[in-house]
Amino acid sequence: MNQKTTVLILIVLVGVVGSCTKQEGIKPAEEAWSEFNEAWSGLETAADKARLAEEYLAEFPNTEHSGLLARRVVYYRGHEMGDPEGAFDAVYATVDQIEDPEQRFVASMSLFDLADSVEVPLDVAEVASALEAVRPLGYDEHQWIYEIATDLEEWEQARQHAHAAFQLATPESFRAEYPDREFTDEKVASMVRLRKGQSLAYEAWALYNQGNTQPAFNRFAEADAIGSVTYLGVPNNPLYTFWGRAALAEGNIDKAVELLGAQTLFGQDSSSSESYLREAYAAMNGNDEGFDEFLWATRNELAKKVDDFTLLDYEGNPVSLADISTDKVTLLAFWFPT
Amino acid sequence: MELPRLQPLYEQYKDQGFEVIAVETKRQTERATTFIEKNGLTYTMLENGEGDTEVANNTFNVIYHPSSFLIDRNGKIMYYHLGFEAGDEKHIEEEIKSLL
Repeated sequence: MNQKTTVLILIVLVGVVGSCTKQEGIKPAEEAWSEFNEAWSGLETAADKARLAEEYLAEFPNTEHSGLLARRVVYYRGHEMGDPEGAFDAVYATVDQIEDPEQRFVASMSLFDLADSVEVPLDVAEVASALEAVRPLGYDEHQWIYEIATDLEEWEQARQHAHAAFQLATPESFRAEYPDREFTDEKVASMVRLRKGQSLAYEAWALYNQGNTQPAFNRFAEADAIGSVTYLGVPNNPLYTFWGRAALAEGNIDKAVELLGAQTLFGQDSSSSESYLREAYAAMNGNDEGFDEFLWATRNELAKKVDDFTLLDYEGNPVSLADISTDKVTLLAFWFPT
Repeated sequence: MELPRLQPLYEQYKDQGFEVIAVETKRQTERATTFIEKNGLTYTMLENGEGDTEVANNTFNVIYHPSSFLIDRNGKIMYYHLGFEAGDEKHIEEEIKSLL
């Protein structure tokens, strides 16, 4: 595999260099792009993918693919390979050369996805307004911005974009984003609930951090009432982490333990809430002794019994969950090939 | 890239009573079978149904992929895991060991 990959990359490189010398303008980039895609489909490791994306980006920093390539570098080198500095260097070197505001926005924003480990010398407000100067932002863009702004603790940016996202969380706006796809009313309603719940949670958390305590708690309750929850009954957004931290800071310990407990045990992002739950538990208990036992007991008490189902395997045989999982420890994973 | 990371866990713990069931939600039969074969996945692979037999959305309310539920010997869901990045398998292994 490795040898084959190397050969493919070499072919692409030869192609890139060859077409650069022969022609001018956008065409060589496009030719190289189809060669890039052909080579890409044969790659398997994150390292090979990161390298190929970086090579194309370095050769052609200013194309309609720059945003996508930047995201791939951030994902494969930054996250999969655990080299955020390398990913930052590769993408940051190209950002200033990207002229298309759409591509420049995506490439710049993808750098903020590395902000946990790398200092990103960009201003999220400037990145957002550069694209806003060209056209109104969509829901996903507002969401990307408010999530980044929340991580960076830029509360006014977070509040504004969360609020703008909430305004766009409507059935009409969702359907307009996917004009070619048919969605049932039920599906659209659930996506709108998801968007409303999430944007309100972030808006509330920004408000709380700006010192607007009562409006923040009102928004937390509103976000909860929207009822966008997972199969396990916990919001599919960080609402309970935010609300629980706010309750803890306000000295409402019982509420904090309840919210952070549900999030830590059965939420989608349990890792970030556990330390706050420990803090809330210690406030309730006097110290954090017995925390693990408390977690385990609460887990057993709140755990939900799984619903059985029957589906076909790839030989066409019906298989039910119970056939496989009775008296076993079972990992049930939902996936699709990308 | 996520599913192959479960294969070593399955092989290591299946004798102690550990099972993996992977449900492919989008019914991309050909791509799924190619992927399964290419990666040598030997645990239970099922295809999501349609309409009344659709389970990922209707029953399990799965929005993000991959979503995983870890079920104990009594059929209770003890852990939920969203996503599957490099390193997550260590965390999942700890959870599996706590239930075996």
